[in-house]
Amino acid sequence: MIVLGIESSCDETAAAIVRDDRAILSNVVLSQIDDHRPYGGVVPEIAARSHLSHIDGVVKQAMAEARLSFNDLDAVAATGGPGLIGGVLVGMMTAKAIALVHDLPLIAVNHLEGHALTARLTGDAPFPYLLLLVSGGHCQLLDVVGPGQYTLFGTTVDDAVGEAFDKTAKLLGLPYPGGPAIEAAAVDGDPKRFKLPRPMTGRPGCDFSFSGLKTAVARLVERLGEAPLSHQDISDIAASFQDAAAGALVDRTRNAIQRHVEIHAGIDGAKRTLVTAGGVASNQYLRSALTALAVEEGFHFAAPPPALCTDNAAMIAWAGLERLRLGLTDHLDFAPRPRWPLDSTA
Amino acid sequence: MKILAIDSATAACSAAVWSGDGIAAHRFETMARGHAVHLMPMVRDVMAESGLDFHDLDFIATTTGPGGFTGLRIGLAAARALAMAAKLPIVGYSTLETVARSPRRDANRRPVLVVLDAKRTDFYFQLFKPDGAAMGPPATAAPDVIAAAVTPQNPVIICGDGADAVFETINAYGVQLERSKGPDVPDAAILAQIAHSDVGSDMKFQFKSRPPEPVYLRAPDAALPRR
Repeated sequence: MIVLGIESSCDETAAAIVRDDRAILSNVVLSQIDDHRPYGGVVPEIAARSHLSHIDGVVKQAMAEARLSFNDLDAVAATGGPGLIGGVLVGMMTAKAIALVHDLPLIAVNHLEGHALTARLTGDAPFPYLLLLVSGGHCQLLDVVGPGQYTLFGTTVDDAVGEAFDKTAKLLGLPYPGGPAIEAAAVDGDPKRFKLPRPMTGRPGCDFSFSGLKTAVARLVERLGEAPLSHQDISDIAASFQDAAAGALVDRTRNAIQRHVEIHAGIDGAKRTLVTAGGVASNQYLRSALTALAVEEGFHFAAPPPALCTDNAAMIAWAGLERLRLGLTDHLDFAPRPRWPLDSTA
Repeated sequence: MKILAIDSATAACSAAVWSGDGIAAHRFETMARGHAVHLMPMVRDVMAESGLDFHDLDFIATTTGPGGFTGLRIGLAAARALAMAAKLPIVGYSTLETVARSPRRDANRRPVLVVLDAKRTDFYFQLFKPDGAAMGPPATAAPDVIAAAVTPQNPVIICGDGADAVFETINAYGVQLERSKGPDVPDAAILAQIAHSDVGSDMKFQFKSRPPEPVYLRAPDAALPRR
């Protein structure tokens, strides 16, 4: 089985082709970051226009790099939401058109399901597993039972962790996007120099909160005075922030691990797996912290390589492939969904 | 000649197949939203009803805007991907030209002013000669600016789904307006007919002369952060 995936729900125009033996035959990602950087964030209308300008070229490139023609495909998958609807529509219409012309099954993939299942494309992650999904728009702990089968354990009550990275970067005068900038600055920083709050830590449940941490960084920057921050200050704040954010994520994930074990008591303990995904999951400091947690709790740890943590279409093709196997296809009248929780009961 | 035409740029959604010397299948619905849901099933239905396969087509025609940003992108993304997937040439026509060149018995030898609703205080407009040739570029403007632009022409046929909203203002400038009873929004059947006529009548017709590029007429709403 070979599936073409299309992703256009935020600021990356992407197309990829994957095969059921987990081979990624092509994976094209066109970033719009340069278009949005002057605005300090993604501008929806600019993103939508850019997706329309580039989507055909990106799809053609993905087909060419895989040395395939549309006739070789078994299905077309595209992100159907959640996300910036203008971009989602462009990708979805492109997928519908290819599906109609070549009489292929269409799969509308939940962008979050794309992230959620990537660890099964890049390694072994048998169902059920515990997922920490962390990105600029989302921060959730989910029990993953199978494609389309998710239980939300916890989510953020205010900001997503990726937003906290972006806002902290802005406060420190670091470039957009903030995640990679904070990680780079933190390399020479002392994570112990500033004590920042780790919101919700020690409390029961699996919910997150990051607005307090962001505010604490703002106060700290203010307190350090009028003079521009020194290189060392910036590095130390970045490292302290990263440590606090990772600490909060680890604390909440530990609670979720307990819940996961309780729910799936009958499952062979040797197969228990903690998966992380989403743009923030590319952060190496967080990956180390989660690896340590998994070891401590007797879990395997699985995380896609960083390039497949950030938005891409290989994850959409793979989620499409997993759904296709179960016969979960969609019709040409699929309505893109700007909001689309993985756990519809939550 | 066999043509698939689509439009979803304004308050309607349509698809049509032209085959030989007439429309073989046609779907048209007025709708404020839902174009992304309805357009592709319409394309599937007109293709099935006409009995044609995509590789039987000579080319695809699409509107390019101006209109709703979301709607025009739905149509353009669909049309371009259909052309890519079926390896067909594609032509784009503006919504203003499509409405201007819609058949109307009342338009004889008078300029045609097309005014389309832009969901703001401004309207999309363009003036065309009686034969359908553009007299100026498409633009977006308030009713009194449109009136000033139209004043040298008199009398004028006015049409488009923004015509009624600007009628009084333009009339007050002394321009004698005749409200056309013809179509006020684009229709894929008419688009197919226009494209057939253009391509059929011009041995040297270049598809590249009418690229399927979006016509937004307005920059994205985005403010640069203050420093």
